[in-house]
This record gives sequence, structure tokens and C-alpha cells, in this order.
Amino acid sequence: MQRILRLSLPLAATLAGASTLLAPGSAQASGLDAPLVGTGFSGPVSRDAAAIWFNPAQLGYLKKGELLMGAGLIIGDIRYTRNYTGTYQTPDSFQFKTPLDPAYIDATKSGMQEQVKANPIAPTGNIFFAYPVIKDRLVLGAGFYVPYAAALNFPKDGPQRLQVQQAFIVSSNLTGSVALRINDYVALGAGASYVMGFAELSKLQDFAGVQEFGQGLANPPINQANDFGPNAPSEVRELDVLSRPISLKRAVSHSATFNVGVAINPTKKMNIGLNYQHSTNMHYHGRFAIDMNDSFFTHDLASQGVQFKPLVTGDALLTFKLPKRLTAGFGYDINEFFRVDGFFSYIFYSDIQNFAVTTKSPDLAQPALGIGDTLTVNLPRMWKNTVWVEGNLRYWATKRMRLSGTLGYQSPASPDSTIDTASPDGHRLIGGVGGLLQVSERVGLVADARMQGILPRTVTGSDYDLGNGTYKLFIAAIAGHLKINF
Amino acid sequence: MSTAPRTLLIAPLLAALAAGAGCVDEVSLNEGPAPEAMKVDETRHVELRFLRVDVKSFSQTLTLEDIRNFPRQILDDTWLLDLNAEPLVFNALTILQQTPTEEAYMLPGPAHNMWKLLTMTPDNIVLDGTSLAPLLGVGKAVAIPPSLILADMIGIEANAPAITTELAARAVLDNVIATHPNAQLRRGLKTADNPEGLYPVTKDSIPVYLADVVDDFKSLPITFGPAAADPNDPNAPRHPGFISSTSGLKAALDDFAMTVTVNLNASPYKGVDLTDSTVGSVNSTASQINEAFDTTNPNWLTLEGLATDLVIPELTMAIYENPAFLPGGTSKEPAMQGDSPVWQLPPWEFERLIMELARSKAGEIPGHCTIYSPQGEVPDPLQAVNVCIDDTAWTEITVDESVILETPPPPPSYFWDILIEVAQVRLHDGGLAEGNANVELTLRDVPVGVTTADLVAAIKGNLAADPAPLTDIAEIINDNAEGDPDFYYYQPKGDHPDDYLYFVAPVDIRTDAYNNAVRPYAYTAPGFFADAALTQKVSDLHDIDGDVVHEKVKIEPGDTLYIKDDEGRKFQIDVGDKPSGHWIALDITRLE
Repeated sequence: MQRILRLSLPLAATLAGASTLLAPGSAQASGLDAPLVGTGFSGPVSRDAAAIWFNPAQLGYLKKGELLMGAGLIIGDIRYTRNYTGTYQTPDSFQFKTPLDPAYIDATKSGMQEQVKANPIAPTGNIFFAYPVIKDRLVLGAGFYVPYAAALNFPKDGPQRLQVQQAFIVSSNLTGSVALRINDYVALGAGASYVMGFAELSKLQDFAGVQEFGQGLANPPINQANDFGPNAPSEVRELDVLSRPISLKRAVSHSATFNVGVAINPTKKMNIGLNYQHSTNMHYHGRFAIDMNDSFFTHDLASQGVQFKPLVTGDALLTFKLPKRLTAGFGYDINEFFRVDGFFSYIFYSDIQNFAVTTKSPDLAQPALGIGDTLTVNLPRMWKNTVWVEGNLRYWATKRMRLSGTLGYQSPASPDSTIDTASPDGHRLIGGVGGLLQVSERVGLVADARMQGILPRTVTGSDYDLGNGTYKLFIAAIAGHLKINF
Repeated sequence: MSTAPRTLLIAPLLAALAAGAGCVDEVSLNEGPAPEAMKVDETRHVELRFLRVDVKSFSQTLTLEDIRNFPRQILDDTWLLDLNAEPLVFNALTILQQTPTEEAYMLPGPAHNMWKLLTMTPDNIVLDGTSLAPLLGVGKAVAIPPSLILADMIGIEANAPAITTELAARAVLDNVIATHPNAQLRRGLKTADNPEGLYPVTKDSIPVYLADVVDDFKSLPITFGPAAADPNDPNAPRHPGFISSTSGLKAALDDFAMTVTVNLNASPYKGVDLTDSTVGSVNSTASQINEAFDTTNPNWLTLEGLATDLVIPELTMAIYENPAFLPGGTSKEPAMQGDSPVWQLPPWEFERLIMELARSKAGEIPGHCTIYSPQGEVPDPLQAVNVCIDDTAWTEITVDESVILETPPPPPSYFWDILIEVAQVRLHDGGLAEGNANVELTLRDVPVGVTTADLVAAIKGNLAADPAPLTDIAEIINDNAEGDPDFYYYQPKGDHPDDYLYFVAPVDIRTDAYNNAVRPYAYTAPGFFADAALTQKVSDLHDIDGDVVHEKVKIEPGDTLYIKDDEGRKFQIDVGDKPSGHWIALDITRLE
């Protein structure tokens, strides 16, 4: 030294990496919305126990108690073809300041790469219960459901490896609701939710994009001007030595939120529902592990004060905000056989401008560089507000069987500048079919199949060429529910 | 709520979590057992990376405390400059020479006598007890002042010092200092060309090491104390040294800082320890040291916190006399020397020193004869005394037979033969016995005679010309050696670098906390060979990026090399296909 860097290398504000590493894959805009909550018949103007999520005011019109529970399977097909549009250096070198010596430019790292895909399969389930404690006046409900979920499993060595390798993020609500039926025309409802989140993910962390790493290299004792940091150009990114495997495991979040709604029935055939779902601050506490087992980090810069253990582990805190949303629903009974309904949601994903990740481990500390054992890093996301519209056509095929068809659309939250495979986002088209078989007066069975996919999205404006390429996404969900009225 | 419904509620969550927990692999290390030594005929696959981490203007500041914590061997062996000792010696003798008389009488006997020698003039010279004493009789007889005779003979004014400080300083430098072994050779980097790491010291200089600067020159009495004059000759006379004590030359103040700025590849070289085929790191600093310093940058080396005035608060210089009284010579042979036994003494002994000094003085005296007659105008004046000194400094003093003397004048001899007698006698004034008149001069506030700026400039100049002395320090600053590779992988600078294997050199041997090599350089056949018998060497020492100390060979996939490690085991190295541009793959087989 290393001090540093130290050179630091050294360098060495590497610890920052241990934080940022976690951030990119931690949430996924509209892609985080679970494809199916409740049944295909559920919605902000639907009177079933799943209204606990969609619009608690609709509970007020339940005549009987209802138990709705079900399980399902979500199957995804996510494909990404990376397109290198930037200039890169040979990955087995370490040039940290542009312009690069032409000898270090990797001419082969250009253009479209081999397509990678993930085919996640994840179970899902929910249970809703509502009971009119005061007939035609007050209904109480409770539900446990998963409104947000994402699962990814990409090849570990694919061109997306620095974005995400594996991810599993789920947010489950345990909600208690109350609905007050004012009259036949208006009902009000509200719910309070305990939100439990669970997250795990893995990727290669590129220390070239870590602010503290660049600063550690630039500051005494290493004093090397460099281009590392959040604004690092592609020329200094994706170097083998700086690409360290990282995982976040067993991260659990406990938080709370609420929703309020109103149900309006201007006529007997027309229903209007309004729902506000408040945002949720998620704080995922878990354990991180990062493989620093390269002599560059463990030994070579020790004299400059940079020396990590081969495996650094510690506590990690991932925080982001699940967005608030406003939903307006509309339903109309065309005749005794047909009904149309739908909703429009405006989701405030612009609340999410970055992810904050805090890691803590005594093994992160590099005292010679003035770096302690705790580090908080913000990762820009700059998401946009989104809209979600859906329309449904319901049809009573028989007195016991009701069929449903759905079409919908979700707009993307991720701008081209920040999109990556951790949030394979785009203009999403939704379709679904479902059926309700009323086995008896009290018991009904619901089966649903929903599909959604994004229009192939070709991105060329990714910042620093991090996520340029073509994204494809298709998700299918099948679910079965048992509906019991009493 | 009863237990059953609660279970129903939690079940989906647990299912979801369980599913999720299993879908993301936790990062862990796949560390196998420690590798065992390679067996005969065993082959192992090794991949090596060459990672160039070119740092520019990389500065490292070392405080006084940092440097003091260096291994002692580095402090002692890191040479900074050869300090011109002439000003120091001159200043010391001037201080003595200018000591007021009343203070001079307070000096210890030998020092006082030395003061008398330095202040001796024809006017104040005391000839009692010497062979020149008859001149006193001449003076009485013919009324000629002996001081006049002496002044004429030496060619100076009657009140001028017979021995100038400049002459005395020169004599001390030539005879006492220059003959000390540690003022002849200085310690430095051990190289193949200079395995002992000893380099000549500039004339009239004493070497200054990093240890001197950070330790307030406390080691001067050791460095320049008694020492074997010739370490290779046990029978050679021992040099008694010339500094017996010193105190407090504080060159480096508490805020001292040395900042070194380098341009180099900070990454160590990855190599293979053939014992078990493990990958290790060879410190890359030494092989780059000649090109690491951008001396066009005026700040490539800065030294701050040096004392403005370099003054030695107290310095005791010592000159030792021979225990016997040694007469001057009386023969012209050998020419320009004579037959005095003083010439047989080591040059650093007082008598020899005076002899040399007098011979130097004689060189300033042109040949001449001076006749002295009694005062007064007479037609045929009496030539009472005739003093002749020729161009070889052969001196004859003749007294007319009509002048009655109690003792005859001294026999013809060289000038120095006369002076040595006077000096020896005067040195023992006050009843000092022979052997007890070692001259120890304790002087205070002696200016070193070099400004701080000059000192810094000298250090920078020396290290710029040859930065090798900084190698050890640079390696400590960039201490990144690991393991004990027998060879390593190198890619020269350039647009399309080739791949080379370098056999380790002595400079690559890892050192411990005390800067001692952790293992001997025990290779009996350094280099790479084309045959298992190691008869066809394919490596050489040719210059690559300034390195000429390593046996090196260019490799390409498909090459086969043979090598012998430091334990005499032979190995075959098969070069495989390159994993990528800056990696090589090797299959290493132990042959015997």
C-alpha cells in the first residue's frame, strides 16, 4: 500500500459494494405486482371477501359471511438479450481511468449477446374472511394475501449477471378490515395491514459503480484519479476482479399500511368503487455475504490499508417503499347474463427514486481509509408513476356457472435509463379467464388463469450501458379458490 | 381466534417463504483442504493472472514514527548520501584553534596540547627539548631571534600558525577519516553484481544512512569508532576510529516526513510455488525500482521537518598517538620521505598524521637558503647561521664554527622530520607520558557545514541517479508478497503483450518483519530449460521494461519447459491454451 488502494486499491472503499450489491434486484416496479390476488372475479367493484385488498367498502354489501381461500402457481418466462453498445476494456485487466489504452479495449464485447432466460415457478396463496357482524350495516374482514411478488433465476454467468442472478421477493399482507354500509348507495371501508416481506437475491456486484470504491481509490493514501463510481463509464465497468458474488438471504421486513375505500351504487346496475392503498415502507433485515476471495482484495493492497476477509458476512438492511395507489372501479350489469366491470389504478411508483441499502459488518471496516463497519448506499431507480387498467366481461353461463374474461394493461415504471433484468418492465398486456362453479348454495369453486406479457422492449438508452438490450416477459398464473358462504 | 384459523393464515406465508428461501443460493467459499506437496509424476493445473495496476504519482508519506518502525536492517542499510566531511572537520578544528587561551588551559592535557599545535607560530613556538633548541643558543650568541629563523624556514610570518587549519583538516581527512573502513565503503542494496552490497564512498565524505537521520546520528561513534581496517585481513591494524562520542544532532524534527511519489504497477506478480503448485505473489516493486520514480517531478521525493541548522551540539573527535616516541629521520632515502620510523605507523596515528601534515606543508615552501649574521654593518659579516631548505624539503641548518653552542644544531633532515619531533614533544607537555596523549577533542556546536537544502538536494540527486537504495523501503510500503513462488508470470508493456515466465531472483525472496529473507536463495540452476537434463537453457536476462535481473522466457501455448526448484526437484511445465488475454494456464508435472 492500503491505504490504498488503498491504489487502493486501493482501493478499497469496497465495502460500499457490499451494500449496493443488494439494491438493484430488490424490487421491480409493476413487475412486482402479483399477477393474481383473490380470484379473477375480484376487484374494486366486486363484493367478495377479496375486497379486503381491492376495496374494503365493498365488504359492506356482503349479506353473509364468506371465506375465500385459494392457492396458485405463478410461472414466468423472462428473456433478455443484452446489447453492448458501450466500449469495454478486456475484463481480465484493471484500467481505472479513461481514456483507455487501445490495447485494453475489448473489441469482442459489442452488440447482441446470447439470450438468457428465467423461468421462475412460485406458489402463491391467499385467504380472505368477512363476516357481517351487524347485518346490512357493519362487516368485519380479515385476509392474508400476497400483493407483491417476484421471482427470478437467471444463469449465474450470463451477461445479466451483474444485474441479477437470482431473486425472490415477496410482500404479504395480513389485513383487518371494517366496512360500514351507509345505505344501498354508499358504503365505506378501511383496512389496516401488517406487511411482512421476505427477500433473497444474488448477483455479481460491480465495484466499479460504487461511489465509495472510487473515492477510496482517489483519496489518500492511494490518490489515484479514477472513473469509478455511480457515473462510471462502460470502459471501466464489468471487470472480473471487481465483480464480486453477493447474496442477500433471509431478509424479512415488518411494517404496516392501510387502505380506505368507498363503494357507490348510483343505480342497481351500476357500481363504482374507489380505493386508496397507502404506501408501505419496507425494511428488509437480513444477512449478506460477499465473496471477496481475490488476492486483489484480500492481500495485494494490504499495505495501502485494503484487506478484506475472503468471505465478508454481516447484517443487511434493504429499504424501499411499496407505492401508494389510487384505484377507481366501475361495474355495470348489462342484463341478467352479462356484466362488465373494470378499474383504473394510478400507482405512485415515482415515490421510488432509489433504494437505500445498509450493510453492517466488522469485516467491512477499512480503518486506514476511514471506512467504518456500516455503510448506507442509495441506488438510483427514478421510477415513474404507472397506470393499470383492466376490463372484465362476466357471463352467467348457467345458474351455477359464471365465466369471466379479462383484458388489461400496465404501463412501465422503469425508464430506459435504469431498467435492467431485476425489473424486466415494459408495456404489459394482461389477459385472463376464469370460472366460478357454484357447487351449492354455500360453496363455490373458482378457477382462474391469467397471463400477462410485455411487448418486447428494446432499450438503447440505459445509463452507462448497464441494461441495454431486448426484454421479454410473460407470466402465467393459475389459481383455484374455494368460496364458502355462511 | 382459535389455533386452527391462525394456522390456516400462516400456512401460505410459510409456504411462500420456504419456496423463496430455497431459490437463491447463498454466497460461500469453496475452500478445499490445504494442498499437499506434489508427488513424483503428479500433474497439477495452475492458472496465473497478470493484472497491471498502474498507479501514477502514488505518494506515500512516512512519518518519523513510521520510519523508526522499519526493520533495523533497512534503517541501517538505506543510504541517503555521502556527507562531505571537510566542512565538519574544518569547523571542528577551527573551533579548537580559535579557543581563547584562558579556555584552552581548561582543556584536558592532550586537547590543550593539540590546541597548542594548532596555534603554534614561530613567535610562540617552544623548542625546549627538541633538536632545534640549539637555535636558542644561536639567538643568544648572535642576537638573532629564533622565531625569525623558523619563520623564514617555514616561509610564514612570525606570528602566523605553523600548521594552518586547512592543512590540519586535510591531514585528518586523508589520514584518519579516509582510512576508516566505514568511510571507504558504504552499505547498500545487495545485487547479483554486488552480492555484499558494498559501494565506494565519495572522497572526503562519510556515508549517511536513514538510521542516522531518524536516530539523531547517535550511531556515529559506532560507525566511526574502532573497526577492523580490512575485514578480510585479520592481521591488519585496527582503526581506532575518530568519533568517540556525539550527542543530539537532530536532523529530523518531530514533524519529519518523507514523501515518495512513484509510478508503478502496484499489483504483485502471480507465480507458482512448485512445492505444492500453489499460487503466490512476488513483490513487483524491486523489478520496477529503476523506473518507478519520475524525477522530472520536483516532488518525487520530499523531505520535510528537517532542522534548519545542522549543528552537532557535542562532538568528540579522537586521534590516537603511538605509545612510543618516534624520532624523525635523518636520511634522504626513500626520497621525499626519509627513514623515520613514523612512516611505518598506520596513517591514522597522531605521529603519522603530523608527518603527513608536515610533508604537505613542506610542499608549500619553496627551496631557499637564508644566512643570518649578527646585527650591525661590517665589511665582512659573520655568517653565523645558514638555513637551507631545498625543493625536496631537505633541510640543513649550519652554524659558523665561531659560534659556540652547548649542543650542536640538528642534523640535516627533511622538514617533516624536524617538525615531528617538535610536535611529539609539545604533545606531551605537562608531563604526559608517551601513550597518554591521545587527542580527544570535545567540541560543542559544531556546524556540519551543509545546509538543509543542500542535504535534501544531495539525497534527491543520489536517489534519482540510483533509486536502488529505496528498494527495501518501497517494498515495505507496497508489501504484497505472499508465499514463495519459484517463478512468476509477466506481460511486458505494449499494445500486444507477450507472455513471459520469470524465474525468481534473489531480490524476490520474501522477507520477514525484520527484513531478513525467509529462505535462502538456494537455486542451483535458475532459469528455464528445454530439456529435462537442464542442459539447454532457453531463458536469459535480457532487458524487458528495465528488468535485467530475472531469467525470463517467452511462452506460447504448446510450449514445454523444465525447471528446478530450490530443493533440487525438477518439474515440467506445459503451457496450455490461454483462458483470456491476461491469463495463462500451465500444467505442472513433478519429474523427480
